[in-house]
Amino acid sequence: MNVSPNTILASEGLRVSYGPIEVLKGVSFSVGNGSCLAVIGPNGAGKTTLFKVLTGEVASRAGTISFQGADVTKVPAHTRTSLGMGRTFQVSRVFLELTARENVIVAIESRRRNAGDYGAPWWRWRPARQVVEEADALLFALGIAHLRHASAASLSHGDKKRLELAETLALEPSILLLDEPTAGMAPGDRMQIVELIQTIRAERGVSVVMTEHDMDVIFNLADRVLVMNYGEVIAEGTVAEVRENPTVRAVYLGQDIYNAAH
Amino acid sequence: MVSMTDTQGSVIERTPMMSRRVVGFLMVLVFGALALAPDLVNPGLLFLIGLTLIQAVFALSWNLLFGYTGLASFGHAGFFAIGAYFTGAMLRYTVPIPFLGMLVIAAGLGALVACLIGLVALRRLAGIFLAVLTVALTEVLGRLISYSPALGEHDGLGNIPRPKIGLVLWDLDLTSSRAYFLFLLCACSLITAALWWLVHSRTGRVFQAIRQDADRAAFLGINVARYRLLSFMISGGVAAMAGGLFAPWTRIVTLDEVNWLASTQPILNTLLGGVGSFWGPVVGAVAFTLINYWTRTFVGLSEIVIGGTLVLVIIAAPTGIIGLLHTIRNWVFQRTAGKGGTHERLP
Ligand SMILES: Nc1ncnc2c1ncn2[C@@H]1O[C@H](COP(=O)(O)OP(=O)(O)OP(=O)(O)O)[C@@H](O)[C@H]1O
Ligand SMILES: [Mg+2]
Repeated sequence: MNVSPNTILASEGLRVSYGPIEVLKGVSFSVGNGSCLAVIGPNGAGKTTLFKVLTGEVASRAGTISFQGADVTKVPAHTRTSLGMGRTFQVSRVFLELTARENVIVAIESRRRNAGDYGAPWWRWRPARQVVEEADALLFALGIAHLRHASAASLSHGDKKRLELAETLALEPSILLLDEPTAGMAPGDRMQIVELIQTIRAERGVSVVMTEHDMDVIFNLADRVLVMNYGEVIAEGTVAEVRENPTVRAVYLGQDIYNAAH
Repeated sequence: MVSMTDTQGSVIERTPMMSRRVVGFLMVLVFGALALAPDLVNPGLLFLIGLTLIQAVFALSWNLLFGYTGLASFGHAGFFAIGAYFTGAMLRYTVPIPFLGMLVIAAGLGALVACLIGLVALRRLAGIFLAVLTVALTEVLGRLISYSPALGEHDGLGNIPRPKIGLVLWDLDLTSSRAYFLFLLCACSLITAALWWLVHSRTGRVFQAIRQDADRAAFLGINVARYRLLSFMISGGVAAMAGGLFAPWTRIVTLDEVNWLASTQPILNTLLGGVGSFWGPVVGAVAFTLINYWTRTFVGLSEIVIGGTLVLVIIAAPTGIIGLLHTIRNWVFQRTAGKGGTHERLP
């Protein structure tokens, strides 16, 4: 596969089937280093499945995935993560029986383990001081510092999403794959997440791939948009280009996608 | 990023059952009382207390796997038997290995067998393979032993002598019940302390994360298969070490240690005491012994009482005795805190 040096993540001809049903029918795309790509499409288009293949949760039947110039098609999920892929889930997943702080600590310690530096001698059972401080700083940045001693199970839906994002950021990823980061949130909270993602991109130069049904979020964040339908890419381009695309308009029943998604 | 300001707000703090200091004090007290046990109780009771210590460690090893890593072994007696028959045979045939060395080798054997089973079963990351293979291990071991004259076939391996430990300056003679009991107490305490350290360490945090959501753990960069294997190996090793301590205490090892009933013992102890707590298996082992002891004169009563208690615990307090104590404490605490007027009842 020929990948330009400015590309951080790319796929070519990805095919995924669940039993007899082909859910991804040869998906190719690429994400530029530091840019933000939004993947949109109707329910069941295969957006989440695409995320699963990219991160290694689901194996593809055919096709290749390259990440930072290396072929990672056969690389297991945990290794892709330690290479710099950070992921959140459509329905947030956190460790329910741990506290919010412990959740983030597990992520930080995992990153340090993979980097070969715990910051504390092996016999110390408590997390190192700088690990706890880093966890608290992340919780603070996500606006849930006051909940750090609460068990993750007791958090509200939105706070769980924030915690999940804090955990993922703790991995210091070079690319973030966010599956509907603002789903189920109140409009005010959505803009807070949008601002947060903008800040992260500005501060760390992180690339982002996200799916989203909220067009406001996409207009604010995405550099480019990939439109999927029935497991195929039907359009790719800037927000404006995609909005004018006749195929995309047809998929969204002739309406403007902005209105259709609401 | 901005530095922290301490805002507790209306956050529910997780309150441990007792403060660390109280637990520590209790530990010292219990240890002291047990150290005096050989001088205070009759030999029969001392024997039971020794067995309870071993069962407690055995149950802790099972709960490391189940309660902390989320994997079930239904044939854990296999590992116990590996240790018991190994040290039993080594002592019986006076193989010139120091006893501490025997225990270490026993643990190593347990971990090795766990590693082999784990490599087969955990590749698929499916817990059911592990459960099935551990049961198979116990069955195969039982068969092998029943055909080995050197291991006593169906009669058991008897006349196991208690060891002497050669230390640098003097010999520690563990031949008497008293001496071996004190050794047992120290060994079990050390193993328990090591397990406590493990589950509270960063490795223990990884185990807990895997139990709660293995996929999420993988997407935090954790090699789930490797940590499951590690947990299984430690669990098998500790179970084998418990078996290794068992053989010189009972001085006979029989096929009763290598069947499914023996495998249910750590499971029952853990469920009785409480899965969610580190000390649950220990509390369960003690409760089990107490029930057995109080009902010993009535044939069949202990089974009924233990069965009844288990059903009760599982229905009324799925989190075991420790969970029940928790509930009661919270209830009493709320009462005294002035909310008592609402006539709350225990759930
Ligand atoms: N585990 C599975 N087994 C079988 N079919 C599945 C499985 N997961 C998803 N599918 C099917 O694959 C198709 C694509 O699903 P996917 O979750 O990727 O869609 P999506 O674009 O993320 O949709 P949404 O916008 O609702 O999140 C759907 O038709 C879905 O029913
Ligand atoms: Mg989806």
